Amino acid sequence: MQKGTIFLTVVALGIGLLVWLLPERPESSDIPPQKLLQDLGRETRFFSTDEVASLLIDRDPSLHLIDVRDSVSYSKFHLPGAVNIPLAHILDPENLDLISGDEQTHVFYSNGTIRANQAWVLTRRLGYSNTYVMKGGLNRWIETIMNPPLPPSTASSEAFELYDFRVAAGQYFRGGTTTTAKKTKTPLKVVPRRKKKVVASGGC
Amino acid sequence: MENGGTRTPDPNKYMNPYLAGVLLGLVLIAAFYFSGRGPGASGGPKRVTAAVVEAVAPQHAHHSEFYGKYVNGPHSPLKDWLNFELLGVLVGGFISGALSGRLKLRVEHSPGITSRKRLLWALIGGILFEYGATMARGCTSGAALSGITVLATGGFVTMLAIFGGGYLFAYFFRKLWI
Amino acid sequence: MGPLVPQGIIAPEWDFIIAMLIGIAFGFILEAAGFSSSKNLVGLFYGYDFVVLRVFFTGAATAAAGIVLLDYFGWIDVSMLYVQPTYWGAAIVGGMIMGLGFVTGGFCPGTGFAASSIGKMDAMMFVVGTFLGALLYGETYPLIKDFVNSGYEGGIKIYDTLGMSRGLFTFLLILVAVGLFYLVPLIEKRVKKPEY
Repeated sequence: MQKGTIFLTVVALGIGLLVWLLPERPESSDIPPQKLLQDLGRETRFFSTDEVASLLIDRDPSLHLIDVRDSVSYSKFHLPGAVNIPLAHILDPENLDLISGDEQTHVFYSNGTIRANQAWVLTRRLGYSNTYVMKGGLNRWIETIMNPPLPPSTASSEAFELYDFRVAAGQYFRGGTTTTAKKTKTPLKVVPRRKKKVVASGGC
Repeated sequence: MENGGTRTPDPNKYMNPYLAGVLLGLVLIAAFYFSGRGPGASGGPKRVTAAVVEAVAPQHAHHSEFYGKYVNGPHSPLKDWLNFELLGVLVGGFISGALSGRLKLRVEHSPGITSRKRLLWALIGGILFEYGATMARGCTSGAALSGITVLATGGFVTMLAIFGGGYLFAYFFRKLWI
Repeated sequence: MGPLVPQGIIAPEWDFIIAMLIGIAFGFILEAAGFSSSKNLVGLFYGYDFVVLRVFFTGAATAAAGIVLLDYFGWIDVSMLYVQPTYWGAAIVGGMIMGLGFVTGGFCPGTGFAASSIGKMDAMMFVVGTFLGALLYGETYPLIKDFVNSGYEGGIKIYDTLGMSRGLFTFLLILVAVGLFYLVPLIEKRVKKPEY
């Protein structure tokens, strides 16, 4: 038997043993830092306050709001249906369980965006991918939904529709009116910009 | 081997099968790494046939549960990964044949049968093979090779069935070959 | 991290170009290995040429091991790869029909295309046959559709079906490929190859 043959056989069997004895990577493994950085640069994790308002008014059951502020702030005011997971406790196992489901859309919010972003980064790193951030947080919520700015008269019709929506939404959340917020036809209907994992199509 | 001074390739010299196998493995890996899927073959004629049926009898095609899968979507069945891959196969095969001096228009058949008989059985074989491949959702390339690459049970089962079927029926057609 | 196109790392417009490049490499290797000759291909079933076995197993084992290694190093997301679905009845019966097609036609679709490109007219007839075969299938589909869709188990993996770890199965696959390397020449020594 030639040396080359023996060498190749050994190499092949060596690779075989390696493949057999390599530890399997766990299913929900850490996301590598580069991917995280990449995702941070994208806007796909954000839900606007309008989108969240829309889902709330629709009573969309898939929306799962998570208030990451401390419990005192939470008890003073929180968005309807939101649960409180203070940022300091976001990595507790029971809390991680709450955001692990794929059926729900988990949206973090805080007063601004910073803490919600932090919650997002921390959990994303661990592989929880069905998580989002409400951009601008409660501050923006007040600016847009509670006190929507009136568009100048030269603005587009979409801008006015958005304004109408916000006014109605604000009234809905204040709980003061008998009319329900009217839905507009503009792209307020939440089109999930999440990147669903797409399996390649194939077949012979 | 004497070639009269010029170096012409020997048409009977093929690549070392193990080298070919490793290269094939690398091509399979590349296909999955780039496109998320492996190469195939039987799906090409399937889709082209669907496109032809649609052109000739659109109602029939669109209402058919089978053709419908390919013609009712937003894209033409011709615009498919497989069709482009098969065009590549033609090119790649041609290049290799050219480099090895194997380009020749001919019917390869056992001396025990006529070339007409060979052609007839080639046609029948093609019909049978594609029928089976469409049923099994793949052929030796798409189901077996690509399927085994990702360790799919379907790939292994199909491969075993192909080889099993081949051995089972080989005796009855031995006159075609030996 | 791969697969690049499904992950959006490469734009989808490139997918067809990639397909063609893969095809060129595939076709080249098939032809260079001698798969462009029906004589060589059916040799497996008549015991005089085992090139199909060698190339096939080496290729499959290399590819499977490669994917497992890529997965381990985090360079590919295995869950995004297309996995051949399992339809038990259809795979077995369809496979056997393919076996019949192989020993009558002398090709499979991939090799048929590769051989056509070098001028083999029997391969071209085979390819014509494949179009007719697809047509025949389409027309008879309503009759067989229940059978053909039965036994569906989705994209299950062979190591799950056999109840072993992925690593172990891949190792066994490599072992078989290496084993064939030593066994096959022993068989070949005893058989004569037809010349034509």
